[in-house]
Amino acid sequence: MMAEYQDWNQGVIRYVTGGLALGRPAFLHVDEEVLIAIGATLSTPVAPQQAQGDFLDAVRREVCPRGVVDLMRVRGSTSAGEPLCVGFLAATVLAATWMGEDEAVSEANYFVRLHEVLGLQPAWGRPTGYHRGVEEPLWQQWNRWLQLSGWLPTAFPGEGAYRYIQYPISQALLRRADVERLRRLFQARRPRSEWDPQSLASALLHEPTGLSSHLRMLLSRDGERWEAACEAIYEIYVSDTSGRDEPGPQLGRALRAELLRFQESWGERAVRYHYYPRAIRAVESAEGICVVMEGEEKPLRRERPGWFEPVGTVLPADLARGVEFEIRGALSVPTMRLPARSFWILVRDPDDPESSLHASWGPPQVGDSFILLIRESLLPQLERLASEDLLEWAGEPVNIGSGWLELRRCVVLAEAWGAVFVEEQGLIDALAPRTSVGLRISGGVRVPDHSGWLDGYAPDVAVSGFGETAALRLIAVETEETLFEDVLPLGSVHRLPWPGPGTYRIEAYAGSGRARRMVKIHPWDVLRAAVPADVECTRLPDALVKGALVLPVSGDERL
Amino acid sequence: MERWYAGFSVYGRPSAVLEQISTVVRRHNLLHWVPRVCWEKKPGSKFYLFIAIDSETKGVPPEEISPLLELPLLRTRIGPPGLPIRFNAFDRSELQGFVTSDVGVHNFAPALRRAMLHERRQQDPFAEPPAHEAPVGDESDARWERLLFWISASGQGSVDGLRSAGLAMGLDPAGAQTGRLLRRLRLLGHVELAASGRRWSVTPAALAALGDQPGEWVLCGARDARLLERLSEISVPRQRFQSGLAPPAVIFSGGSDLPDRLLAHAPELSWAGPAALRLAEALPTLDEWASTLPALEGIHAPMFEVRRFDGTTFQPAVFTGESGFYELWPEGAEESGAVAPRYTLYYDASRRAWLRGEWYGLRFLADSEARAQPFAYEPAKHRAAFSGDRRPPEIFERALVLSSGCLPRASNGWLVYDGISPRVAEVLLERLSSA
Repeated sequence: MMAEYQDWNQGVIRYVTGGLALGRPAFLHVDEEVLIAIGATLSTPVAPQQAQGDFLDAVRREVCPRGVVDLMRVRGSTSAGEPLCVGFLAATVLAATWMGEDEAVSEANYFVRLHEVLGLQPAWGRPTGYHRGVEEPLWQQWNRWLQLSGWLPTAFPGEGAYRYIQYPISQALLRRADVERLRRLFQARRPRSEWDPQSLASALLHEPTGLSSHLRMLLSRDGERWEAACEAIYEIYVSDTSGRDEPGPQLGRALRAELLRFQESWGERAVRYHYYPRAIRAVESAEGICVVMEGEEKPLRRERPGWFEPVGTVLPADLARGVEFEIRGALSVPTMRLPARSFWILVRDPDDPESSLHASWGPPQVGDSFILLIRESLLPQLERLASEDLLEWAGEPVNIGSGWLELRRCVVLAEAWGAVFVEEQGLIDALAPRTSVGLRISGGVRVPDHSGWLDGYAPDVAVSGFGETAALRLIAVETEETLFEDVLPLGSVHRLPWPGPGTYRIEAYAGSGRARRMVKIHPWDVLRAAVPADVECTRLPDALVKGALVLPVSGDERL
Repeated sequence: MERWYAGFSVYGRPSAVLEQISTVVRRHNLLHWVPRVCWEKKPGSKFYLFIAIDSETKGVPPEEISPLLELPLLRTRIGPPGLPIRFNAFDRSELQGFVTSDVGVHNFAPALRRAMLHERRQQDPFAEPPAHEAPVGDESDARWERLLFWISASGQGSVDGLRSAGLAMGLDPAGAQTGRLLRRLRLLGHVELAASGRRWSVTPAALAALGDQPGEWVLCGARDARLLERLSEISVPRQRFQSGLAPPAVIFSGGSDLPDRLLAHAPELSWAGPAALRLAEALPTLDEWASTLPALEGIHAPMFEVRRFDGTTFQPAVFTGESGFYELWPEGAEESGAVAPRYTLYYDASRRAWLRGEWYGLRFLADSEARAQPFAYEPAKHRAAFSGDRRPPEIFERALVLSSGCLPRASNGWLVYDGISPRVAEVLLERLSSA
């Protein structure tokens, strides 16, 4: 039985945004692997070998049942408020991924593929009924929905003749030819099974042959696309190494654990590391999923969009060899894995940068300090980078045991790293800035679910970067009205004129660099009393006290 | 790859020219192909500039550096005219004597300008907060109410996070009164604190009967606007303000059937009954309470500068193993400019242990006079009074606060608690007095 268009539409939305941390850029990247993963999650799951065909059939039935494109049925929203057009837009992106490596980016070449995707007779130019610009309102609807939901849009029009085709092309992170090339490379080189997206991307970038210029460019530039490209390549890698002998999604065969660092802030100031699992894409709920540690099942609880709560304690000795744990309750991910790395970049909490909490949430923002956790053997290379005035840290390295050091309050000082060579090139790839400007949102009073700030207590905006000034803009997403625009000195903190509840986008430009953040301001009446997961109480000999409630205890509960 | 030099005739100052070139090289990440430049010695307003280029073929610039070559200032090149762009490729040796030393393009990269982050400096959760209790001006009641809504919606969190919220809401402008802020919320029955002192959780919404006022009940614990609206459908409460020091007390008044009606209308509400008396009767003696305090391991007094509480202040002292309330400062505190002790602890000689607990509780424990005569009580007015600097441990004081649903009033150096029934006073006196 074939899945309906609405099912695929919802599945694509869930895949693109599921597990994506709020404020992160969302790419509508769709290819055969992605469709296989989505197909497995539909209400009527689709077998892997049928996923792409089923998707295309569903789209064709919806938008061109009689050979002429008619987008009426994909305008508007579902009952849940989600855009109806996402399935169709995903199909247009699929067409872009089908463009050959040697095909020039042009309307002519793109529309040949689009005819193919829509199952229409081959022809040059736009498909019949697909008038010039008719798709733009759909992309704008998708972008607006993403922002109102808390994510950054990434689909934008191009210039001149590329205006409309730029939308789908900007979303196609990997072309089909790229995927085939990567598969051949993985089969020939057999990369290490415990790699993560960033280390895999770094290794690929320094692969002497085998990468197309498109892939090489993708991996060496542009912060927003780089992270998404690393993830897309990683999905190819895990599907390739996982094998295809089992039904269900082949993606994410291991739940990836990052590292969260907690330091006591007074007294002995002990440092502890915890496993910090990333949310699983294409899996809707964490209900019933647990990780087995030392024979005990520890439930995974959602901490914030994109992440589970930290679990267990990581010993320094575990960092070098990587660790794997059994997962129960999630068929598609049998294990949780902390990869073996030679260094970890631990940045401040993007939701609360003033706290002392650090984790491997992502690359450091321009101007922000971070902690580098390194194997002792890497110290000379870091010192070399410091001697080139590319990087600095405060104080002496701190030995945390088992041959690991912490370099605290690290700051990247320079933008141009191309002239330095160290043995661990992954360090350069991970540390070199990918943009010239950084935005930090801090202060204010946040809504407890990390979805934004409360009216009257909006955050401050700090702009850092390489240069003198940055253009800063505050835009209301609902209307795309620019509420504030000014050229401000870099290295400054600003209180913007927030008009009240709503969704806003902040943009900073310095040179060719750009940084963007989403800020949502909520009215106070969104707050609802919550039941704490860990209820504290005052223990007395014969009672437990919770505020005004005095609860007698039984014999075996007595102090 | 071969390195060769492309020559240009340019106008301007070398430093300005180099800065433009550096900007483009950085922007387009061209350092891999364009590492250095040099220019003729003694340049005039027009001079020759030579850019080192690494490429496959001498004289043929790689396509990647086209953004650089399109710079207007580089329009006059030394090489054959027309397209594609070609150069007369120079070796470095050919330029020797004519040009300056090479300069790395990255040397002209602009410096980082960063907005400093003021990381929250966390405090010992048991340290004494500043002495003053001054409210923070107008609208503080509204801000307290919002804080309680935020606490209720959060459910639980770190003390550090609460400090951040208090700071942002203007309830704790210097970020230094979190301990005091938390203590008030605990006294009022809204929040409980973990034994570590680092985490808190909101308490369940509960209705508690006031001590000596039949027909009055106070709302404690978690709440949101919706709960208050629903309860108001049954009975509109009045607010009793706390002089800007805490969220206003929400008090319902009515017949004896009112609690049942409120509880039926809001299932999430619990019945706490005569909470003050129940709590007082459940309390241990002061010594029993002290025996439950956690001991902090690894403290060696000789490693610190010791100050002992003398009933009024902390004075420098030699630690002799005597029970008492102590501040342990880092050695050389004065010279190093330390502004706070490393630890504030009670030493229990009988257990030979350093005990950690909330500041007022430890002070009360060490204050023999307070233990002999904990408080004064006026039976006719149902009022208890503690000397202002002799507050009991929080859990004991909570029984007093829950009697009226309000924090004590400061009056002539005393803290006055209203609504204290004779029975509550009798039990507390027994619990707090020395054995």
